[in-house]
Amino acid sequence: MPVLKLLIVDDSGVTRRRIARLALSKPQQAFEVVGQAADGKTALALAQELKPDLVTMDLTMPILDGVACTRALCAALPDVRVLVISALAARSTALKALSAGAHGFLYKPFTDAQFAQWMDEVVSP
Amino acid sequence: MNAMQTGGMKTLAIASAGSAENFPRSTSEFAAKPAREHFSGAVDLAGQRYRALILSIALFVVLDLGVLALNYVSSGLFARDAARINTASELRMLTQQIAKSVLTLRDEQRDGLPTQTSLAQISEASLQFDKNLQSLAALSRSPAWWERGFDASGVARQAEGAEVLADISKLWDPMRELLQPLLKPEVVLSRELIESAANRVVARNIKMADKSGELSALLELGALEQAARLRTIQIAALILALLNFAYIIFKFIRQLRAGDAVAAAARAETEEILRTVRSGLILISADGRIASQVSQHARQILGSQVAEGKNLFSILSSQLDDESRAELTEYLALLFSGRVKPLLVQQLNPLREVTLRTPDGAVCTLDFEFSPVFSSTGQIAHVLVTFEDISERAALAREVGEVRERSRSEMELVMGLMAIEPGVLRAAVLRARRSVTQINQCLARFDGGALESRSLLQEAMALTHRAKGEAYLVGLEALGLAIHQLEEQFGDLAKSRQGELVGGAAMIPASIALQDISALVDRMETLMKKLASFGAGWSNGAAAEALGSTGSNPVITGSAAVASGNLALQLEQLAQTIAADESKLVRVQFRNEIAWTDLEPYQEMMQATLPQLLRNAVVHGIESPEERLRMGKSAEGVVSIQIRRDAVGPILTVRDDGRGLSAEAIRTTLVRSKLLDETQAAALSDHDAVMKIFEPGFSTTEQVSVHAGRGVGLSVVQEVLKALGAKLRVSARPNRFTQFEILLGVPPTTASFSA
Repeated sequence: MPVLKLLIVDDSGVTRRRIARLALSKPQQAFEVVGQAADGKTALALAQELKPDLVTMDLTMPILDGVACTRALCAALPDVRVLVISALAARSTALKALSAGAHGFLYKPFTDAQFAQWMDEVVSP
Repeated sequence: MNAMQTGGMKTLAIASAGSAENFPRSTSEFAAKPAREHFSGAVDLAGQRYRALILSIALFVVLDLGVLALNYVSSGLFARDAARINTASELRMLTQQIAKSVLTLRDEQRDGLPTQTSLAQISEASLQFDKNLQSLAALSRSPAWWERGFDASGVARQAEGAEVLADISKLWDPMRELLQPLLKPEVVLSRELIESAANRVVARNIKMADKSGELSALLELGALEQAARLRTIQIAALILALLNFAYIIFKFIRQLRAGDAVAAAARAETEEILRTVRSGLILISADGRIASQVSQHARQILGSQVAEGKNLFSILSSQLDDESRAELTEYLALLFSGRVKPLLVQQLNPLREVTLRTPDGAVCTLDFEFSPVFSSTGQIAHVLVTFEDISERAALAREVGEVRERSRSEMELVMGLMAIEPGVLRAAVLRARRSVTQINQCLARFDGGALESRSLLQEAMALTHRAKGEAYLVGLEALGLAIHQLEEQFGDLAKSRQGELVGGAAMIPASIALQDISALVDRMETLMKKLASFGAGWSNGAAAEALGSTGSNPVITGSAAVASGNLALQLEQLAQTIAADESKLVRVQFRNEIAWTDLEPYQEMMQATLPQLLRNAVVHGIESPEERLRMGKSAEGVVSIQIRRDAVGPILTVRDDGRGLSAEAIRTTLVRSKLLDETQAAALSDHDAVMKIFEPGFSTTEQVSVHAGRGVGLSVVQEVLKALGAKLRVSARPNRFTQFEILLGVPPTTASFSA
């Protein structure tokens, strides 16, 4: 199984570190965290440069929000898979992100097991 | 669970479709190897079932073809037989013609007439006779298989024919030799020659004719017999074909009926499942239309309008708010797109826990799940909607949540109580208890006319506001918040129209809020007792010492400094609480020049007015940090509270370095809050306008918050002071300061307040 390139987008450093730690400790699929971004604009720039296979996307972020970022990201990289990881408070926003091209949604807070299951599911064909 | 349900439904769908032709298709649907093996068994069974049918049909075709071939052969035979009979009867005719021609020849020769015609006729007839004979002989020498006949009589008839033919040949041969010399051109026909030939020909002619007749009769008989035989065969074949056809029909109908029975059984099972299952099962297409199979439970919960062809969205939409409706549409569009996996979006399902009203009026909580159903071609034609009634589970969860919330608030309350100095707390709780009683008495008087109700409401609001201030002053935030709820209720009542206030019913929400406060005070008292039983700083003695308002404590001087310090601390805390809620930065400077014991008589007055004035200063006087910076002030506002002695008595000053009082702003507010119209407001002098801030209902704040907005605060201050005979002085400079001075005057206990 090839190592998949992961880009983590979240304005909270705590969440970014947790996602990175969990992604690296996943036994089924090997991930390489190629980049981390705290806002949508940086995420987009990084994605275009790094061409990640998977992006975990927060929704409420400064500069460029998650929905707009997801839309731009999916347009720029048609093969990228986007997993939205956000609070469930804004379900309609999350649905917009999914309509904009994201492939899955996991709400914060999540358990380690949930995260593993979602990551497996989102990268499997 | 998801996949299982989907799979299960797929089987149901196949079973309900019913007809046997679904079997081969469903094999391709299951790609997994065991499934394929299982289903190929079914295909073998189906093959066996069809073998008999296929054989029968093949036999039917063969039989029909046989009859057709027989017909073809028969018609050939009939033609041949006809020709043979014809040939045979020609023989007879030719014999007679020869005989006749020979006699004619004899006559012509005798009469000396020309003989060419007769001779030619004889030659022609005898040649024809030869030819006919040869062809008949050839046919009888090597007959085709079918000409030999199929039975003994046929064979016998054949042999008989051959015998007669041989007889004819035997008769013919000498006759031909007899005729031969006549036909030779070189021979000169003598009278004797012709005479003898004619005699012999005539003599044989009868025999020949008889034999020829016999032959043709024989042939005719044979042909008739053969025809009869063929007809029998034909009829037999046709009967066989008909029998075969009947068999096919019988077999086919039986199989059809067996198939129907299987389908009906499957349908019955499906219906049984749908009738019994304790969850809602509905299959919908992308536009929300309901397919044929719906579980009974779904109808029980959502009503009988859940039926084939109806739209599930429109059934649900009356019970959903706009947001959920939009989310549901979007969510289902996502599922039908097939782009996302159901698991990965299940958390976005807007109907995960939704409260609906059933047709019989009961309220239940339902948990919906939506699973896309893939067709054999990989398309999503349907989404399976499953839902379960989770009312009990939801109620339980709610109860657990409430218990948890209660214990959390209890804990918070305990922590809050422990942070407050015991004596101060005891006094605050006592005052709160008293306020509750007063407000309750006030509410009890609501029964009469509208005017009376208005003034009662004003009174209740003033009491409530004061109680809130006292609660916040000592830091009892939970109590303050509860009292604020009550104040909200009163605020709503004050906004209501005149007539609506009459009668006790309008007071019910306020009564409930008041009961909540009362319950909270009870809990605080209980907690305080418990805390006191733990000893330490919670001894009754310490509490009594600090309870200044009892006034009967002999050791009050000893605790005066403590009480004074407490007041400063309390005011500072209150200021910080309000400042935090209002997003302002505030510092309190407290200075007291008078011994605490001397202030003792003014205790109540100070409790009622100081928090109010401080609140007023922070909320209305002090600007937001940004605004202050813009004005060139420090971000942090200062409220200074001073108690000093004057000739007439103590003077209490509350001064803030905020925006000051603007008569113009007050006029605008008066108009906006409909206390005055524009001409009235314009007619007010600046002084009179400023004095309006002490009137009930006046508030410069548009947003009602915990700390301001009801227009009660300063009117309470004014009222308390008036009742106690104290005076209030206001001075202000725009953008510099606002100052309230209270001339406490003679102690109220000795004052003659007849007001």
